Amino acid sequence: MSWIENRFEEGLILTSVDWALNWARQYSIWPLTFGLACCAIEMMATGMSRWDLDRFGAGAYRATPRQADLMIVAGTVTYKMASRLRRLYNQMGEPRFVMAMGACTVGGGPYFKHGYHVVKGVDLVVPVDIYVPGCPPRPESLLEGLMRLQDKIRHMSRARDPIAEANKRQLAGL
Amino acid sequence: MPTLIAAAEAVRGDTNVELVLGILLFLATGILVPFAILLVGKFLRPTMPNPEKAMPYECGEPVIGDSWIQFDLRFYIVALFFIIFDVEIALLWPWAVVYKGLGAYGLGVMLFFLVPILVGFFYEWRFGYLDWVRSDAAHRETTLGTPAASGGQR
Repeated sequence: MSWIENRFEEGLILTSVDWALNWARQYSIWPLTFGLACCAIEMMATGMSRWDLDRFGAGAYRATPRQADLMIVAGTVTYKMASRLRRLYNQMGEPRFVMAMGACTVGGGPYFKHGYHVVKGVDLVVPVDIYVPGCPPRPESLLEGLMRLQDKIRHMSRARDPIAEANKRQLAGL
Repeated sequence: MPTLIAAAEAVRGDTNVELVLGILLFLATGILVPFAILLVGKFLRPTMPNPEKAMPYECGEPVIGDSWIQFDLRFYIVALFFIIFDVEIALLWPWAVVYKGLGAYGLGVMLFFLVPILVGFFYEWRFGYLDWVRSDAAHRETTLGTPAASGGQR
């Protein structure tokens, strides 16, 4: 949590800070190199010249979680991998985002019934921001997912919300 | 800022003062701006440390042991050798390419460079630094007396 978060109510200065930070963040989403299975092939294709992920400022795949903002979980997550995945997520710096790419990561996919080794959805391990369905998703779908993530970042706010706080107090009182 | 400009205008005739003032302004900006940026960043950036963030990166694997381990001291000799021969090759290669044009002068200059390196090389050879396990015989000769004599002293 940063110092500025939940400290001031919405105002000209805070919204300007929000705008600047969100603008910088949404156009520099560096993904973690994290291809687990066949979806990774589509992810690589998205990074190459035909679809060119770099147009969105998200083409700099980092080899370490410390420099990454986005974890594109591209492929089947096994139970053995899940603990590693969680550790890598914990090692990423905030703000961090997770994109579940493909049917396996969204909810087990083709391994839902008989895959004794497959995690039935990566959201059981880490909080997921964007779900990209498909088996595997087309690069266009991944780009769409990235644009939705940019939308999400664009609307991030550091302002205090007195109504939400009052609601929370009321709930705690009940 | 306005006072600085006024001061600069007051001494407009003296170009040296103006120059010094400019340098001072430049220095002050150069010192202040990084601190200002760090200060702004301190208020804006999220700080959520956890023990796993402090762990060495091992592709998500649980870390075994510390990354600060003791290396064998003998690796230092290997590294030193590498640097010596690396520099030697880097300088010898262009010299060999243009050797014919340089003539006797080129040969003399390169010998001036090579001989001290060769002296060091033969020193290391002679006293067993080239062997991974330093030879006992060379070591015995460098110390005073024979092994029998030193054994007798004990």
